[in-house]
Amino acid sequence: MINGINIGIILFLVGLYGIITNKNLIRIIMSLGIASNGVLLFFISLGYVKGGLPPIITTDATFFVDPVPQALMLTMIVINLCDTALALAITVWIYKKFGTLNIEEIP
Amino acid sequence: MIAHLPIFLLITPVLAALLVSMITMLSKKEVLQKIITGVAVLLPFLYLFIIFQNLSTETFIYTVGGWEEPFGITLIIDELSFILLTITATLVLLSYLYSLSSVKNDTGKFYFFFLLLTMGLNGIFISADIFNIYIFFDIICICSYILITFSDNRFKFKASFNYLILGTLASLLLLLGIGIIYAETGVLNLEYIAKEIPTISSQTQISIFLLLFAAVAIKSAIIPFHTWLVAAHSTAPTPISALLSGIIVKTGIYLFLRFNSFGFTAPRLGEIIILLGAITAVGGAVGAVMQWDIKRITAYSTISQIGFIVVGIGSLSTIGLAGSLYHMINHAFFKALLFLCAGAIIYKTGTRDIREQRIGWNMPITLFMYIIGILAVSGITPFSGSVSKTLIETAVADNPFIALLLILASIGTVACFAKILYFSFIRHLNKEQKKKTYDDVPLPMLLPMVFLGCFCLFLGIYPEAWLDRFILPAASVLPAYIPFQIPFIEPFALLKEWGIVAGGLVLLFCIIRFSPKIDIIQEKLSKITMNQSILAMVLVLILISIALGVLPAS
Repeated sequence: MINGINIGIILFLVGLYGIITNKNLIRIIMSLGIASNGVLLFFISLGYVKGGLPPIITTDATFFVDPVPQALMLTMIVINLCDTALALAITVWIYKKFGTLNIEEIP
Repeated sequence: MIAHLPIFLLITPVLAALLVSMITMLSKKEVLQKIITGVAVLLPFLYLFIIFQNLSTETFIYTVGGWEEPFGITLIIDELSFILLTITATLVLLSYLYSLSSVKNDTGKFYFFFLLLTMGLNGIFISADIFNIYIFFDIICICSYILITFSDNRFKFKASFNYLILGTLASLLLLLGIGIIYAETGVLNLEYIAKEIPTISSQTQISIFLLLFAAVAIKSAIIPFHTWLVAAHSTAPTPISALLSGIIVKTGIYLFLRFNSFGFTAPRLGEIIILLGAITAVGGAVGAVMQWDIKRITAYSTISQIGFIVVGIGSLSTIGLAGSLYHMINHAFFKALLFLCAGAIIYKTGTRDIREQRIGWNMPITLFMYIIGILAVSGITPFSGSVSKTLIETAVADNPFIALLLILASIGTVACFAKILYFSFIRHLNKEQKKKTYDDVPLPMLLPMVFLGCFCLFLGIYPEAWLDRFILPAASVLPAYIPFQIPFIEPFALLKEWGIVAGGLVLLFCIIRFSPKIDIIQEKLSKITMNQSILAMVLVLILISIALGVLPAS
């Protein structure tokens, strides 16, 4: 079945596969990004209600999309940005110091 | 005022961190930053003192922003959190003292992340909201990645990178688990989740357990999820090594305790946890005896001790749980002591290889404290490790295989520390005695070591008082609590301890004899990359899920 939850989990597994098979640091970081986007999609889809309105309080609307997962995911995006930025910074250091991006060649 | 104390534990370090970073931008002098950090690490003791006086009469529940449970974020301090907060405050203060003379460049940045790390640690122990736990989990991880790179070791980048990838993976797995919990129950508050969990179907329960377990196992370094630990803990600056091994690894165990109290029901759950714990205990010890680097030996020993704690938790009995909690406290103090002593030795000799250190009598106070730490970690009776190891071994006494594995792990622990003692101190006693050179480390580095040595003695001398006052109330927070009688010092147990020491010395002799062959095996093992280790983790997770019955076993 094609819905956000299943695709999110599949994206997470694709990212995990990428982390396991790649030797290049940049590729590993990109795989991590795919995996985290999978988790993000999974979470957002949890709160989705078909035909629901945006969760903004108006006078007559009663049928809302669940706002909690969206609020949580805003936090998660910030944390992930921090992780990715830090990973890239460390990669730049590694490249300056050792001149390679292959994980097997770094001492 | 008293009701607001939980939030003060978070605000104080954050404000101090902001001040430190501003002052770093304005001036080059480092005195002010050190004073501010000192105040910020001392203030939690005041809060904890007030909390301790009121802990028996009221529970500290603070709803952030005044939003009611289960919708708002709640902070709770109960007996279990109180113990861990106290350990955090003590270790943070002592590693701050140690860092005064051992951290030399980029002091402002170092203390900024140090204070943020303190905030994360305080936060994870008091938050009662599972998403909040995820946030603090990641704050701790990010600060540790950065703090590891403050060392001057050339392997620090790879260590930090491996830790970063595995830590991020752990937080993603935790988040997936939280997602399934939210989809099934609709709440994020720990107490409400625990009420709802029994109504979920058992298949879903097992998948939630597996995801949370994988996250916690990576954080607390259960074999085979441990591959980041040794490099990260051994390359970090010494005060950070002490914090990493002392308390940051314990956050994983703490979360494991909290998640276990959800009451997952699955067949063979306890047995699998005990088996993983025993494998971790033995594997850490085997790794430790093969190393020559003083900090790597200490880091591998951390894995071994974590195995003991996990066995106690997996026994699902009160005596095992009390033993685990006690061992958590003991391990925090003696492992911090061992790391600080190792750091002092490296500071004076400039080398990490125990074959080249040649200390002898030069550092008598460090030597004395190191011996106290070793006796505590090997579990010799008047010192702290003995009580908790006895409790854990009593909890699994009806399972001879696991008991045997734990004894093997103890023998390995004795052997690896006797190895350090022999190579860097005892072997040079006679030669160096002629010179009589006293050359110990500066006072700010000695003071924390002496404090920690005293703690190791206090925690072992009169265990009943500690158990009654702190450990058992904390164990009673968790479910399945039954009061019990503890069997204390027996002649047979004393004999067993010294038998283990003798076994350790024999093992040490064998290691010295066969060291060239062991070095070759060690060389091959160090070739394993991060990718292969993650593959191993995924395979083990699949195996556990088959054993628990999420996939049809027949």
